[in-house]
Amino acid sequence: MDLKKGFAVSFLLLPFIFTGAACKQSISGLGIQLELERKTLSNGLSVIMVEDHTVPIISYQTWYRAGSVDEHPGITGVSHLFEHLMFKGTPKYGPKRFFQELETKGAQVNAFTTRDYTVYYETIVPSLLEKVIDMESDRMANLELNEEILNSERMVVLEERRLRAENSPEGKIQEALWQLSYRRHPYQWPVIGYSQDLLSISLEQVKEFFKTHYQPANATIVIVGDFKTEAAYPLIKKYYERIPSKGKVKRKIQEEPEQQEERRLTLRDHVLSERFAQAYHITAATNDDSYALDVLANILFEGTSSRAYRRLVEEKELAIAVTGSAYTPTYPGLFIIAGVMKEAVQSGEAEAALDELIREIQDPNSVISDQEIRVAVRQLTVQLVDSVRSPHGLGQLIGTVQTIFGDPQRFASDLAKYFRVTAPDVKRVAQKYLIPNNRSVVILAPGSERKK
Amino acid sequence: MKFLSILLLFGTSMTMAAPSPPDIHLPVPELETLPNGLQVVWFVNHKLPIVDLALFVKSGAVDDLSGKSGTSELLVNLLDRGAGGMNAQQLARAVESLGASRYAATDEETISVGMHGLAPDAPALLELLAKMVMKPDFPEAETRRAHGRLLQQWSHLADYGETLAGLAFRRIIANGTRYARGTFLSGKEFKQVTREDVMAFHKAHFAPGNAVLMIVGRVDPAEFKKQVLAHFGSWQPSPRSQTRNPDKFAKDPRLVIGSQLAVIDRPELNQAHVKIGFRAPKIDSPDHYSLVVANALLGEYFNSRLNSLIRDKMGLTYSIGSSFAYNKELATFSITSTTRNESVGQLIRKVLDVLRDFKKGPITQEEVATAKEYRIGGFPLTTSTLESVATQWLSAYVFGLGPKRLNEFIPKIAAVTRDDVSSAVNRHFDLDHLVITVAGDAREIEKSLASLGNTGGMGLKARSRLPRLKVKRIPIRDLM
Repeated sequence: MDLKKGFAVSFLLLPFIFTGAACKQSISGLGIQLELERKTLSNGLSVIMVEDHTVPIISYQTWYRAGSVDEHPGITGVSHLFEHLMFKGTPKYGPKRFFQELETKGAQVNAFTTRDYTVYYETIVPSLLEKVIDMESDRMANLELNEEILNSERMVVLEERRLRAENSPEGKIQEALWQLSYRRHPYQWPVIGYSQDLLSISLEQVKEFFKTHYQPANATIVIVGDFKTEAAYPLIKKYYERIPSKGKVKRKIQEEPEQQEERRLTLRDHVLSERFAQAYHITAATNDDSYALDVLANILFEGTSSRAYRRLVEEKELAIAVTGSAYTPTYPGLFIIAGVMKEAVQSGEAEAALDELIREIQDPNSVISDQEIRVAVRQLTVQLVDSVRSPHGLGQLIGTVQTIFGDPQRFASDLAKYFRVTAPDVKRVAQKYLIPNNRSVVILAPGSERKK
Repeated sequence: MKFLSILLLFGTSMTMAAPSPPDIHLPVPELETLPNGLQVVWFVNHKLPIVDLALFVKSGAVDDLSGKSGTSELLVNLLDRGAGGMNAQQLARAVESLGASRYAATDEETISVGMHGLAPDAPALLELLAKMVMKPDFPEAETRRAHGRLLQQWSHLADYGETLAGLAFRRIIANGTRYARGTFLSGKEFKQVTREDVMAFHKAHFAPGNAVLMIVGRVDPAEFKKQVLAHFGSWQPSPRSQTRNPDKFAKDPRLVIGSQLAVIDRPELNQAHVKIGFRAPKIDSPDHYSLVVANALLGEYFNSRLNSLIRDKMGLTYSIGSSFAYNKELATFSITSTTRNESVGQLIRKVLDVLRDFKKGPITQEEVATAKEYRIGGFPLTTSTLESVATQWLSAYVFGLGPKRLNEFIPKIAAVTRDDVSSAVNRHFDLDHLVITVAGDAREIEKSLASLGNTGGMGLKARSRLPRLKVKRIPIRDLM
């Protein structure tokens, strides 16, 4: 028992320690030790390197500050389209070579796109490192784009859209929810884009997007794993430094005006029971309210002992599942709550139960116990430790904070901020953000969308 | 390596020297057996301050009594709903207050119950795990609630086309074996499952001689062994412990299926989920490694035969892939994809053409070399965390494949030749006993199938020389 207490105290006071010069820092805490080295090439490319020789694996990640937030109506989905086009080849390495050179030698090669950034990643054995650097730098500078490539990939992306958005109950709800929540800000459209835009987007528009966003000053390379910094960095300089700089892209994003009234939408599909999702406007990752919002989300929704699970699933037996989380990206995001109702139960009943729960948190006289806060912070700590289990996970964590905050060590100081969250902080953010006029609600009800 | 790429690019058929396989040394677990028969497997590593504790019972859904499918599913949903003097909320709080997580799950062959959390909490998590495994209360009220929740969750699976295609595929391809039930046959049968059935299952199968305890992560083995003995040492062998009789499964794996295509109607989807497959040799087959290589070049990587044609060249799908799935007594091969309703017929025809060409040959030396390099090169990645090594070790253990199985992978793949692959494909790609399931808007899908011509209703026979496929529509209610 004493051991556990001592451990908890050390967690609370000092999750991570930083030592070292500005470009090379040791980070230790939570029983984890890592050395992180950060460099910037003359063309503005950021490079972050973390050696970890536990297993003979390297995660190589290229983060472009280009996401759906950088699109506009007419070219929605173009940032995600690049996730496909980037594998179509250059004059030096033609179509399929990325897979021939890397994947067929056992490497894992893939990419993902978010609202704020696009990431290309390879998990490789060390002998492939120079080849990856060569090929990634080559496609950053010399990607080949033509009508034939564009047309074949738009068909594939439309299939992906059918899979993820149009034929998935969750996908349908999420797309409608973001569209309902934002009226000006580009977070309103789906990352995969709208079908009509995917069909009409032109080669010139695609080329322009590439020219603007796929360049060194707008990118970060993250390497984690079994390599030597003194050997890898000269290779990065050799292959990337010759790519000309165009300067970091300045984003011009329309701000979302404050929402003044609740918005609601009902969709229909051949589902067994009603599903619903609520979205409250909250803040961005850079605002310290985001830590209290994460703790609030954990208190309400994490695990079967959470307040919402107990109330909606176990006590009232209204829903078969309820989830919630605070999504705080680069620009102000959403606190999203979603649920699947039991057969024949109306989602309105779950919404009423949720409103009651939120009011209980907001009530100035109610109690949020220190124990609840400690549990939530501990859950967030385990999530962080889990995420750094593999070189890929650690690289993703570093890449995220570097791309959003420009600070690769931010995840460590983030954890310290969670430890400082208090019950009044949680109450305050619930009072500030979780109010009906600030939310949008989408319901997916059993039925047909077809006109009779 | 560069030489190999050049050869691939120009598609020559020269024989080349194989690259030397990497020298991989995987962590080897410490094994011990407690006096009561419980096997304890230690994968100790101090890199991260986390620990996974898991107990595996060598019984699963195939051990549900006839007419009582869903018993083991209900059981795993009740293990944390009251045990060892703690009620459901107390158990949930005890685990979650440590920031830890718990799980209990069943598949056809095994039941797993586990904890994942921070290393200093390992003793507390072990104690909770022991309570859940050895002393579940199965409270009546909780059993009623869990029963109702499972029925609801089961019914909601029909919301997903992918699940429907998979469920129908499994039912048809495993027909005649108890694997066809899956872990849950139907709501109707599950309604017959009682608390007494669950308790009887627990008594019969949860016994130290029928279980393995795995300890993975940062622990001090000497100290922690004392905890293991304190919590699991008193677990008494059950006089009714059962071992499964393999003879109850169909002797002839091809006895009960013929080529057929089933359409499961999920109206208003504009995309269909497709599964195509057949029964395959079991995991201990002498052809196993040749088929691993064959599957890689057919449908595992981006430049595989299926992806190159169906996605990259024709743009018919976002995703297509092939895989083998193994139970102890039944193995299956399947290709999974999605496509818009109007191109379902075209996709199926093209896949069957690929399969026919694959079986007919030739499979080139270069294809085999590439597939071997892919599997050997990827092996370090699939064993890059202690948890993944432990999981693969356990899988080999469950299948009775011996402790050296994982370390044999690279040399066995390296030894596979083109002739091995060709003859294994020829022997085992059973295109006369195909099962195809398609879930989506049946009206649209059937139009697409009909538009291919009138040879067997599918337009498949002329080119593919395949037997007529029996086409039928399966109502969702027949699956649920």
